[in-house]
Amino acid sequence: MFEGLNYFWESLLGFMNVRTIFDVFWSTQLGIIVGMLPGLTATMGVALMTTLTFHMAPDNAILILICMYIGAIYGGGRSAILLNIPGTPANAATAMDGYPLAMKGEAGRAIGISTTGSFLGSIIGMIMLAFFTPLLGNFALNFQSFEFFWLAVFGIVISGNLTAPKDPVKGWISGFLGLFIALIGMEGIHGFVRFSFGNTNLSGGINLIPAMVGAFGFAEILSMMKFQHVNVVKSKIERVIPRLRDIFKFRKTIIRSGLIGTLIGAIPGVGEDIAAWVSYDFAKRGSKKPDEFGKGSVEGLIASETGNNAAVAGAVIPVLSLGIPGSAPAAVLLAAMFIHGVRPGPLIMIESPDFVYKVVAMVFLATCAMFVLGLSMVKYVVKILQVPRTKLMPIIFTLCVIGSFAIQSRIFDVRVMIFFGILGFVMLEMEYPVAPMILGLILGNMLDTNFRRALVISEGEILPFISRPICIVLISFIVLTLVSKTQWFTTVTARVTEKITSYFKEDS
Amino acid sequence: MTDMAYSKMTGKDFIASIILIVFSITIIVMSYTMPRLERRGIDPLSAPGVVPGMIGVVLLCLALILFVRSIRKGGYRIFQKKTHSTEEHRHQGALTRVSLTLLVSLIYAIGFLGHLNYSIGTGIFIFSFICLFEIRPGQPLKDQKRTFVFALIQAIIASLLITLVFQQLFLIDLP
Repeated sequence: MFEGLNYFWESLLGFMNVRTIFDVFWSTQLGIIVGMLPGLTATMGVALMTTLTFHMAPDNAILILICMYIGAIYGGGRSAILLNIPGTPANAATAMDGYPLAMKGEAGRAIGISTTGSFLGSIIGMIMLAFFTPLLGNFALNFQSFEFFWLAVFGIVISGNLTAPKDPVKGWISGFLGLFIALIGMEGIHGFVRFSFGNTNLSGGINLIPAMVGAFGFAEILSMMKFQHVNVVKSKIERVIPRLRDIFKFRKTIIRSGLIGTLIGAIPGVGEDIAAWVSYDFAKRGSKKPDEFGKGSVEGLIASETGNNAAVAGAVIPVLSLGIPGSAPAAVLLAAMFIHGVRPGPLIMIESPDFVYKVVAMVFLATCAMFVLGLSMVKYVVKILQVPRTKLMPIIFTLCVIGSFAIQSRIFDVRVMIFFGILGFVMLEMEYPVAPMILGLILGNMLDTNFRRALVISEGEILPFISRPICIVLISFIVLTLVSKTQWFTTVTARVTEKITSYFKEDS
Repeated sequence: MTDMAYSKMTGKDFIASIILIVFSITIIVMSYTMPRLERRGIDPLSAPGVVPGMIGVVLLCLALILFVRSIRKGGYRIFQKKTHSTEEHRHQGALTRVSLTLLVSLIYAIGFLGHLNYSIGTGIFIFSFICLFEIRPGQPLKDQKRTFVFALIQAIIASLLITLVFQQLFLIDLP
C-alpha cells in the first residue's frame, strides 16, 4: 500500500517539468475538442494520437494518450449540452438533462456541473485504479490457459450482452465475428497461415488500429453524412464555475455514480456509454425527484458525467492487470502500450509495478488538466462546434487515412480501415454493436492459443476446463449472462423476489 | 419503435441471418479441411482449424436463432413490403448522401493515395467533398462562386497544413 503511494509520488514528481505539463495541457485540450465534435470519437482520437506519438518516449506517449482519452470523454458532454448531439457515445445520457438545462438558459451552469462531475468521477476511478489493479493482477497470476480461455469467452458474452441490451444475440454475433477476424493470418502456435487466400498482407493478420479507426472513425463519418442538417449552437454561456451547494447536495449520487462507472468500465469491452446510462438509471431510482430526470435535472447530469469519466480509469484496470481492454479507447491504449514495448497483463506487478502507479499519476494529471481547461476558455472553444460538418468531415477522413497508414506505412491498412468503416456503418444501421467485434479482435489470439494449449496440456481432457475453481466461477458468470435476458429467467427472478419480500413482510 | 420500423428491421435481420448462415458454414468447412499438420508430428488437438471451427459453429447457432426469430416475425416478407412515400424519399436522400461520401472517400483512398502527390490528392479530395455537399443543384453556378472559392481556400490550407504538421512536426510517413 505505502509502496504504491511511494511509486505514485515518485511518478508524479517525475512528470513535474515544463515540457510534460505542456504536453498534458495541449493533449487534454485537443481531447476536449475531439470529444466535442460529433463524428470524432474518443477511440478515433486515441488511435490518431497513437500514430502521432509513435516516435516519442513511451511514458510521454502514453501520458498524451491518457490525456486525450479523458479529455475526449469529458468533451463529448459539451455538444450533448449545447446541441443535444453527444460528441461521443459516452455522452448520450448527458444530453438527457444537459440540453434541457441549456434550453432554460443555463448552459454555463450545466457545463460547470458536468466538468465537476467528470473531475470527481475521474478521481474516484483513479483511486480504484490504484487499489484494484495490483489486487486483480496478483489474483490473475493464478490463471492458466484454461482460465484465460474462459475469460476471453466471458469478455465477449458480457460485452455483447451489455452493448446490445435490446437484442444480445446481435452483440454476441458481433463479438464472435471479431474473434473470427482475429484468427486471419499466421497463428501463434505452429505458424500456420489461416484464411489469407494467398494474400501476403492478409497473412500478417488484421491490425487493430486501422480496424478501429475504420469502425469508429469512418463509420461515424458515414453516419453523420446521412443527415441533411445539424443545428448550429446558439446558446448563451454565462457563469461556468459551479456552485458548491450544487455539488455538495448530490454527494451521494457522485460517489455512487463514480463507483458504478468504475465497475462498469472495468468489465471487458463495455465502456463509458453503458457506465453513464447505468449511473443515470441508478441515480433516477435513488432520487427524491425522479420526475425531473429528462427535463433538466442537475442530479441526472451529474450522475451521467461522473459515471462516464469514472469508467475511463475503470477501463484501464483490466488493461493493466489482465491485458484485456475495458472499453474501445482502452483497446487502442492497450495496443499503444504494446507498440511502446510495455507488456500489460498479470505479470505487470512483478515485472514493472512502478508502471501501474505511473499510469495512476498520468490519470491524475489528465484529470486536473481537464478540470482547469473545462472551466476556462469555454466560450471560445465551443465556437468550434459552429464549423459545418461538410467542411469538417473530409478533414476527419484524411486523419483516418493517416491514422491507419502511419504505423506500418502500408496502403493495405488504409483498405482495412475502409472495409471496417463500411462494415461498422452497416452494423450500426442494423443495430449490431461494434464494440464486441473490436474486443473479439483483441481477444481472438488469446482465446485461440490458450484453448489449444490447454487441450495439449490436459491431453484432450475437457474436465479441467470445467472443474478448476476459477473456471467454475467464470462459467457461472457466462451462463448467468446468457440467460439473464430470457423471459424464463426474468419470470423466475421476479417470483423469487416476490416470495422473499412477502416472507419478510409476514415476519415483520 | 414504430411497427413499420420494427418490421423493416425484422426483414433486415432475415437477410443478415442468411448471409451469416452461409458465412459460418464456409468457416466450418474451411476449418475442417485445414491441414492438421500430423506429418510434422503435431498434436491434432492443437491443429490450426480447431478454434475457427468452434467459432464457426457458435456463429451458425446464433445466425440460426436470428433466422428462426425473423421468420416468426414475418421477416421474409421484406421483398413484398412497400414503404411510405415520404419515408422512402427521406431514406433515398440519406442513401444518396452516404453513397456520395463513400464514393469520394474511395476515390481518394484507393485512387489517389500512392498514385498522386499526397498534398495535391488531399487538396482535390477536400475541395470536391465540400463542393459536392454544399452546392445547391437548383441554383445557377454563377451565384455559388463563394462556395467554390471558400472550398478551394480550405482545401489548400488544410492539405498543406496536414502535410506540414504530420511530416515535419511529427515525422510521420505519408502515403
